[in-house]
Amino acid sequence: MACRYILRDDFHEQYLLGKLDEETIKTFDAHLDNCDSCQKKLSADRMLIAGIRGAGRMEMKSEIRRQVRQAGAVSSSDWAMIYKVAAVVMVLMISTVLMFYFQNQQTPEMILTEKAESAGRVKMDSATFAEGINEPAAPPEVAEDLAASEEKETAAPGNDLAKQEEPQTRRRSAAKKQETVGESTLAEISTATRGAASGAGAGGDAEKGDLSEAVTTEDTQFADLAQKEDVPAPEEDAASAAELAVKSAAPLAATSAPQKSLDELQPIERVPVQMYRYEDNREILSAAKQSFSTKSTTTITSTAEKRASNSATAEQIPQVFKAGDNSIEIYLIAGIPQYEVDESDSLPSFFPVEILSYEPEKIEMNWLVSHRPFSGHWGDLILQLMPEKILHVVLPDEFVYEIDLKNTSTKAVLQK
Amino acid sequence: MLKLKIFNEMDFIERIKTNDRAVLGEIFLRYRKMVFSHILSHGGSKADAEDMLQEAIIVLWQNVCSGKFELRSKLGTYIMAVAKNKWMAEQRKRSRYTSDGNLSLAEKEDEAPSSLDSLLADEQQEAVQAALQKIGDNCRKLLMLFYFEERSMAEIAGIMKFAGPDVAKAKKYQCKKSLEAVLKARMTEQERGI
Repeated sequence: MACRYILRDDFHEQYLLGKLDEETIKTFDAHLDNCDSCQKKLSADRMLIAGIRGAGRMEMKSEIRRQVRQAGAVSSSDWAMIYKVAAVVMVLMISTVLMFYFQNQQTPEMILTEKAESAGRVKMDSATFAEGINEPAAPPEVAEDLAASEEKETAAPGNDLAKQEEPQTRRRSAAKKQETVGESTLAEISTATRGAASGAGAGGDAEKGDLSEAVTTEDTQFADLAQKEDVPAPEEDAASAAELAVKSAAPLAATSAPQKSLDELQPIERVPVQMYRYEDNREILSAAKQSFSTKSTTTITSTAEKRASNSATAEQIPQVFKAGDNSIEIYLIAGIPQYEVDESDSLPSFFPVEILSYEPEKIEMNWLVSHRPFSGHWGDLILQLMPEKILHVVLPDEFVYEIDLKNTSTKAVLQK
Repeated sequence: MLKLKIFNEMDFIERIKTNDRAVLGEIFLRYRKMVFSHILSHGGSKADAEDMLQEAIIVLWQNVCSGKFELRSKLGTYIMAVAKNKWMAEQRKRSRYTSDGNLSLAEKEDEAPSSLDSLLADEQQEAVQAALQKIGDNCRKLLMLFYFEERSMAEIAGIMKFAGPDVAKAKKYQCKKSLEAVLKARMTEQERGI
């Protein structure tokens, strides 16, 4: 006859799984010594549970191994993909940089005259907007060309193909005219290219009168630029830029880079970003110049506090600084940096910059393409970039950090 | 960062509770470096380290499922402690054997009977594991959930999508009986063979 424990359905497995209270366990232990059927049942259940647990353990282990293998396979395939993408990006970057490097090997004079020209251009555009049609007449040579082309168009009104080609012909002839003038400055030449291009754009759609206006507008620019070469422009912004151009061009003029032909020049319209920056930062440029004239040393406290005290728009626009005759310019790409300076005299760990120099060969290639060149310690910067020069960095919070590269110090001077 | 860690650890625990087995590999990869460096620096091989980490994960899984687990420290600390203990036990076990795989003379006398028992037990376990393959996937899974993971009937009902814990209990009973029947048949065959 079976004992009362055998009659209880899952008593033995509860005993083995430790789900019984202590009192019941003690009672059962005392009973077990004298109950063969209970011993047999307990042994069978123990074997069963151990077998199931062993199988569970083995299954789980093999599952872990399988998942780890899969993860390894996935991660290696991910890496393969990352390597491929990185290779493509690298090739693109290198090709872009090389293209930029070889196509935009502008002479210092060109950089400076572009800057002066863009300042003058802004002035001219605003003046044109304000004065409406009060513009000077076109030079006689260009006016003659235009008159001739107008006559041709009137004589053959039905020839659409000829009409389409006409603006290009006019552009070429205007450019040619400017080229044959020959002795003008590089700035004049580049402006002529741009003038021709915009003349073509206007001629494609507009009436003949518009074309004439476009050409005369560009000629006005030539006149303005010619004035700026010799005489400072009346406007304050243009004056600072032109003054800068003349001052910096003087020592560089001695090297006298060979004049390029029209075909070799890069139209400014192809690099609108540079134009935009020059135009938008003229005020900041002059402000930066002023800031260095009133140099004062202070300690860095909290960037957050400074930001709060400064104008909210400071981070919205890139800033430019020209560090005197050493001629290094730094633009900060605004909006991107998210650095914090805590209560210490340390500088931000990184911030993105772009660097333009009048001596680009002295700047390492990666400086031109990297958006995180200052990542890490400032000592890295000092070792890599123009070791004899003082580097000035204008941060978006309108404070200027000065690093004396000659002394290779990591000391930063905050200038307001 | 700290929040992220705590979140991840709790996430692991929650996933174990919901029987998300994909978490096994993630836990392994997360704590592999830590456990491997300890085992390798304490006389173990790479295979030992892998085995110890797997064992630690299994212990974690079982304790979480059975409700014995409480996250009082970092999960990594827990895993590490279990792996260390397992490795010490394994080292003790190995030290009892001589280099040729036999028991040392000092321990032969005492250990021989239990060794025979364990041999028999191993055979019986293998028999159970073979029988488990013959009772169907659902039954095998149910028995695993109950005996290996020690989940409650309510949890098993949820995982197995039964109507309720009573159904799970009844199913478990049936599955256990069918496993016992397979085992009995197998033993009878073996006896006839002998």
